[in-house]
Amino acid sequence: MPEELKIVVCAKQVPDPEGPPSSFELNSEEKRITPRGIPPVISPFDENALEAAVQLVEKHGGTVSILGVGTNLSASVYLKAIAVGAEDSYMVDDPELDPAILDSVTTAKILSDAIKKMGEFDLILTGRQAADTNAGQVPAGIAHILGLPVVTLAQSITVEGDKIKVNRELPDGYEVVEVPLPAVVSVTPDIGEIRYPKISAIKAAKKKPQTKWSAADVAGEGVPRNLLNLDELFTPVREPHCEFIEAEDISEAGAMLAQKLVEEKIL
Amino acid sequence: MDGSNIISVVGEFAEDGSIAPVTLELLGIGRELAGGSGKQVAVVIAGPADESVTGNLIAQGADKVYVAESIERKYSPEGYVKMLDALCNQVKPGVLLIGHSPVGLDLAPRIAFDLNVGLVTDSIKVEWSGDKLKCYKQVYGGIAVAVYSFNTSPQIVSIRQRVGTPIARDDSRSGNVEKLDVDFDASAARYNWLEKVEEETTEIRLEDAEVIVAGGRGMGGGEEFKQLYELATVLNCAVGASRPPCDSGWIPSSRQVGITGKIVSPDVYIAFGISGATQHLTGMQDSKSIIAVNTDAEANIFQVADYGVVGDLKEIIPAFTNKLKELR
Repeated sequence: MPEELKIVVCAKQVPDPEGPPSSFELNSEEKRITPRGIPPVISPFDENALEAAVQLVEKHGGTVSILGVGTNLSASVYLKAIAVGAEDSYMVDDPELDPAILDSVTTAKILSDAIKKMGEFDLILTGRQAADTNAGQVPAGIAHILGLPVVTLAQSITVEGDKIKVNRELPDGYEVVEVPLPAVVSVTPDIGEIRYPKISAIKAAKKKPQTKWSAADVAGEGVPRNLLNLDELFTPVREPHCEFIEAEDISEAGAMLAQKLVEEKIL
Repeated sequence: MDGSNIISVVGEFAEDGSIAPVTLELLGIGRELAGGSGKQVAVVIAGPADESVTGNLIAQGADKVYVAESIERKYSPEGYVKMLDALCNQVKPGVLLIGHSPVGLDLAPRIAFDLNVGLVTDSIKVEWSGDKLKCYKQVYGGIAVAVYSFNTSPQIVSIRQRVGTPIARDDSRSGNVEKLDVDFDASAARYNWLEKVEEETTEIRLEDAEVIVAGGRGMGGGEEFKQLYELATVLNCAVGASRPPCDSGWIPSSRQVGITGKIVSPDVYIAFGISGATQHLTGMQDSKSIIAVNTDAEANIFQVADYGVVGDLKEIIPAFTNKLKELR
């Protein structure tokens, strides 16, 4: 086991995915979505990764660093993340890194370049996917670029010497896999909801270092090319077609619903 | 060899050795994409070339079966990446179709980064636009759909399970079986699979359920969920939930339906007290029949429902359950 476990959590800033659909303004010509009136948050999937990291250092000792890549990253959003149990945060914040146009390949490249600049790590944790692009490609990308093993969909992580054992989610249970450290692991929500930071922890977080870099500050060798084109972006059309069952007495409506579903051979 | 006319499916197997349903679905999609164009549908599999397997794959739509005998059939990331490397270097297929399954969602990004080519994950529809593939994918938890095309070859796409329809089995179909040479030293693998632990549960799993009864914030509390379990006993079906009941601890989070939980498409989905947040709708809107009960007639859930009742759950659920007991 490394003397002191060093973990980096990749945490993407996204518009609050719990916001109502009306707060996501879609411009089909520019093929982009602009959030309106909803705050930025850390992608909930990445919050699970942060929780996993905090649990690991509670058990084994060590430190957690947070890394975000994007445009107009909110210092207070990342401050709250530090307060959950991290030592510092690194934000690669650059107009060039607009999450609306950043693809998985570029994201993985910049995260990897930034991680190299940040130092040596035992474990790189990410969420299962980002809450905006929902792609789930970045963990494999970082692992490929940094030459590390990667395990996806971790429900739990145990450090054993210089290896980790990961319970990987399956539809009917889990499988246990082992990889040597350093490694990249993506986690599922089953690993645990993020804890709320105490007010005192938020105050203390303000004293912890928040490093800001531009894209040029971290850029390593090689410029990724666009492998995909986004040709269209549209809102799926739903055609309401609901047949409402009505009755004077509401419990009667419940019985009528049952009758209807059995008659129609739905149940 | 120029394989740009080849659409290749990555074959997966169930634990009992049978061909995984998602592979049959992808063969169906491959056949649709091939149409009458003269394109060929291939499937690549790891492990022994037993005729029962290769024959089945051909009967289900494959024109070619590539067999990587040196790779163990049981999924290992490193072995399967080597197999696909060999396929893409030797056969050079124009399209690679992978299931968005526990195996495929792990494998697809690995091979895409390895080949440095584009990948669309969890696609819900693929079609041709000229000689290029267009892949539809839900983004922002289903609030929008993005359509992607590729600048690279092979065009790799992982497709959501149950999106494709297998073709009717046709034993008169013919096809070739070819060996694929893959150089892989399993002893050098860093990824070490140890064991599988099955979840001990007597409940029906959401992914397997033909019928799901689900509760939302409108259920009011954990006690009220007992009514749904009673209904589930009558219908012999699974119980699910939207996110709020899971966050409140009324029901375990393993029962959550939605983009942050399980994506399901049962024959029947009955939603009680679920308002219909986008991330929930995205997780269940492909169910064949949707029934919604809610106090709010304006709730989003009615946008996707086939049948609805507006009213108090406390009265409707017992009446609904009792009537079903009587009729079934």
